[in-house]
Amino acid sequence: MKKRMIISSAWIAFIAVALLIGPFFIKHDPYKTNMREAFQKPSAAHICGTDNLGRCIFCRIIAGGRTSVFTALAVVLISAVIGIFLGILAGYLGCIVDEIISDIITIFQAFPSFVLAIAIAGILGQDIKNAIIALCAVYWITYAKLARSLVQQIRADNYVKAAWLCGADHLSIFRKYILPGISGTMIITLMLDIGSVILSIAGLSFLGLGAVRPTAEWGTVMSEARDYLQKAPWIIGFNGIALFLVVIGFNLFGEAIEEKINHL
Amino acid sequence: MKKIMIRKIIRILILLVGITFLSFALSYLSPGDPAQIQLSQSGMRVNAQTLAKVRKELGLDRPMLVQYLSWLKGILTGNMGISYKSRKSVAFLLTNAIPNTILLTFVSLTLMALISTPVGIICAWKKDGAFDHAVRVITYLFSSLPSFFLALILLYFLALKLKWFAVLPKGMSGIVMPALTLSLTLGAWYVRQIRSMVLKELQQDYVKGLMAKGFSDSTILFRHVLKNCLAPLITLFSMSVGSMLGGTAIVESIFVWNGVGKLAVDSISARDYPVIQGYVVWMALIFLGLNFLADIICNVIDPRIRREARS
Repeated sequence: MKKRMIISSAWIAFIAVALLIGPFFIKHDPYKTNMREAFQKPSAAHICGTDNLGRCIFCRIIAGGRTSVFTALAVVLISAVIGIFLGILAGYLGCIVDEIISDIITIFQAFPSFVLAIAIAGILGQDIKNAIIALCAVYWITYAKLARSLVQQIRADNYVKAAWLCGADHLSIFRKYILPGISGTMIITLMLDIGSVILSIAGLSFLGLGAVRPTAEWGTVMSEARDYLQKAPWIIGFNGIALFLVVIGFNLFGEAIEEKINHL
Repeated sequence: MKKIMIRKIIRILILLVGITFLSFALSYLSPGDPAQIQLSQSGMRVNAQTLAKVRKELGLDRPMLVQYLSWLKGILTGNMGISYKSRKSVAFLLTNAIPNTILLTFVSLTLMALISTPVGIICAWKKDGAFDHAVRVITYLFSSLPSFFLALILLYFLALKLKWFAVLPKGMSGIVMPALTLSLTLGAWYVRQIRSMVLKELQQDYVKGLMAKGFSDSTILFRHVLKNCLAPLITLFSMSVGSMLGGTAIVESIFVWNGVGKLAVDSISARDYPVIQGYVVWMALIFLGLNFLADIICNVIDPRIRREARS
């Protein structure tokens, strides 16, 4: 379906532009408090209203989106690089290396993923960097497992054996067969992970294990606004909707990419 | 056969050592010194002398491997240390919290299964119908909805606006909102899984064979197709049980449900390492045990898996 690709890429492009250049256009400083304007309902001056300290919610959503989305991208990229590297190593070298890496994967997999993430983030202390480390410890597993089994399959294929017999070296086999063979699946996994990583980051921040206050981050902002749910429901409402729309965008985009790659 | 069994047992042993070691090593990640944290938690003055004393008390002056072995012995005998914060034993705190989490898990998963199984089956059976399309959109939206946002929406409308529940309900009515949150977010995912599983089965040749033989739709669906979907469903279900028992930390803390997830979050903000370690290691062991159990059940009910394992 082409429609999905067009709609989702337009949506992602819009989000990217809003987050990249948005901060230069917003009227108010997302960190500037103004007690006289606290708890204002959505109006022309503040289209999403203000919070308990009079900060503009719309500006904080834009600023928070930068933290949430860019952190999520960092998590996905770091986990993919680590996971793919270890997976290729295990699948290509086999024997003892494979056994050790597979054991490490099984051990990490034995923990319910969010339990491991909160334990690591919690013990390291509240900081967005620690949240990134914690989520990477959870997300690299998928890449390593996938890369490992794909490389094993490719290695056993006849065309690779033929290349061996023709005297190809490791580097050219890696470049000509292994890398193209795994890249499609890896890109699909990576794209489909972004949405769930954004949710996990917001979740960790909501529990107080991510961004430190007063940093604008969707999870942190929503956790702060919990106390004012009755008085100012719009804080949580608008932040939640922003989070929801961005995640939907990335999920749709991931699926569109998946269709595109699988039907080439 | 014997050789395979021995290999399997060795792998499980490696896994258990790995899990416990990783849980133990977590405390080494901490930027702070446990002795210092315990001292400042209990409000004592920190100086070199008391620090050395507490370090000796906690056994922190021994080499790491010795510490690990004595900690492992403690885990196996149910002695997981004392909480820095409440001065109660970790075993006591965990056994107090686990029944609440089991109850929440049981109620939400039952609710989830009751809703999503029939919905998923109908969607697959009437593929591309109006119902299927509507459900697909709804489940899609739900799978992108963060659980804490859904929890807060429910809290706002059900508790604050409609006043059906108290914000901090006492007793059993407190389970409704957390269970609803969990079953809705998980249910959306399950509907999609069940739908695709049933669809995959429906495309198999044996279904065409049964149709050609003139069996009724309901016989094909209930006696054959669903039976074949049971094993993968049990595997999925056991993983959900495992991760839910590990605590749905976010939902438990929003609705102040005193389960293991909330215990973990509270312990983290108090830097209460023995509790976090006990929590992590037990949740991993339970998760592992449940997956193992699901494997056995699948082996018993599905002859195809048995055959595969043998060859």
